[in-house]
Amino acid sequence: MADKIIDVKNLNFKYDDSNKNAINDLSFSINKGEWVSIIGKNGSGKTTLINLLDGLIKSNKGKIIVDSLEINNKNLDEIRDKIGIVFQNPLNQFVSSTVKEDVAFGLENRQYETSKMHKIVDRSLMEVDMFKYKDNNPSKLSGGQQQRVALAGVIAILPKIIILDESTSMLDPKAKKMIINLINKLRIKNNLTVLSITHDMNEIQYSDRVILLKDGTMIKNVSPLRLFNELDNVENYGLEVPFAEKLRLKLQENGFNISNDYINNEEIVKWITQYYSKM
Amino acid sequence: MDNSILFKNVTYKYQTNTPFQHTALDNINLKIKPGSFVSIVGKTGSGKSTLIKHINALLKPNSGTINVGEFTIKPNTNNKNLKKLRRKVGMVFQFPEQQLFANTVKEDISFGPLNFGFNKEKISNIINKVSNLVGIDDSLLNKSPFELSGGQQRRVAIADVLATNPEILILDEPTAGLDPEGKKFIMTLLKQLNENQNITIILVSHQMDDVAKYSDEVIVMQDGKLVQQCYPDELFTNVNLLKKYDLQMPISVKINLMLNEKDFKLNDLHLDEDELIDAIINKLKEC
Repeated sequence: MADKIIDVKNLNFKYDDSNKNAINDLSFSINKGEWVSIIGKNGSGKTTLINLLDGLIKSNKGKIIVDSLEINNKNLDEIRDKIGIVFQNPLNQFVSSTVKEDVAFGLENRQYETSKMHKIVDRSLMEVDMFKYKDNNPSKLSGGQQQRVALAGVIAILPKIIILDESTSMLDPKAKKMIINLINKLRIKNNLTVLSITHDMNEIQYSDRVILLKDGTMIKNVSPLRLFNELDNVENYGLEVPFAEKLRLKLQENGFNISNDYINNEEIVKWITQYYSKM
Repeated sequence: MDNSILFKNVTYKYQTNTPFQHTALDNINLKIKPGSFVSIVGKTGSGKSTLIKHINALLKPNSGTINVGEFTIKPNTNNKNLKKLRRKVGMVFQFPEQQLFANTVKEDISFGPLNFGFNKEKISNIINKVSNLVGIDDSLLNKSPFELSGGQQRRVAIADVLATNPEILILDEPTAGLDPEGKKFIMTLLKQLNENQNITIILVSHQMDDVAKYSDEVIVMQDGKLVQQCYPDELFTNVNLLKKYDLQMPISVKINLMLNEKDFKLNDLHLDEDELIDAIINKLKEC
């Protein structure tokens, strides 16, 4: 059996001023090395869940086990050493005027010795291919480069889990792809677990599993290949169906014999032209 | 009132007289008609943000002139006379929710109108009107803006700008980071403001699907120069132009191109996704 690295059991959370649960009896687990996407509208509970996992807020009921440790008030530092978060807007996470100082920030907080810190910073920057920018001002870099620096800061503390909180939503498609490929490479190399909050339905295709939330409740926990086929009314969940999927579902609706699995642009174009040439 | 925007030979350089001098706007000539919906596109660093900051004189040109309705902005324009211009031209920056500051949503929306010296009754009317427009429920008005969701915060930030009743509204990536529903809400709101209240909308965006769908006109910036001003169809049906300016193709254009390359040819080009889907299915049914 695979090792569980995150185990959430009957989790409930309610904000003080609200009359309903933001997280509603949520249970799921994630195995070591998995890439899981969490999707759903704004307000569906995605960010609340991340804040619970990182111990920023405390659940009302239920438990969260991260790498065999059940989160409580005393082990938050230990929990946070296991989890690195890459946020949406890189500019909000920079605190220093050079890339290398920025990457060092988390290590300084953890009181690493200077020479060791420099080594880790250099290595982390090399991992994300940003070493040559180490003396640059992070705010002057492109969005994709900024996210790579943010990622270097995260991997410097050697987390076991990386949480992507809409980390690519500000990037253009090229930079998006680059960041996702880079994270995937790091995941495989270091046996990291990735938990990704995203609205990008193309991006979820990289993940092993998709968890769909609505009003704090889990609606689906499925392979990304089957997501759109298993949902009757995607608009209810605030999902933007990729063009090729929309077309595939419409073709099915019209009686065409096309697979039930997720399809990308190249595949659907191939399907259409093959169908057409056979006629 | 004629709220045309006119740029005449506008040049702007950052860090002049230093080794870092950089020409951000290079001899820009441009006219934006009142009541139009114009999108400005181009790569990061092409001059889009610098351009829009000239429309309400947050930046003043090194040379050239900008006319916005009855206002004229020149290199030596005095800041004293800009208050009225800034009321006319509302500016929504990237991630505007980062500028929310007040204790309640209501106070945040009131800030601009108070500054412009409106009375209490008028301000309360304005709050009702703009919160309605942006879909912020009355029950949220007395809450702290920081308790709201990201999408709601964004709408409050837009309400802040609408509260001063601008005639020209400039937005820099207003849907960045929102979920699909939030994006659609904002884009529909802009279209409504444009159509029902005749507010000129100037949108800076990387979302080519939105640009293609909502704007009347597109301005393409490249290396500080205005390289193209045309109808969206002209730009998005011309693959060579898209490649030349390194612009992302709307998905409909991309699929159409891929199909064309494999000899599956549709009679018309459909920029709208749903129309394209129908066209493809109809063609397949015929055979």
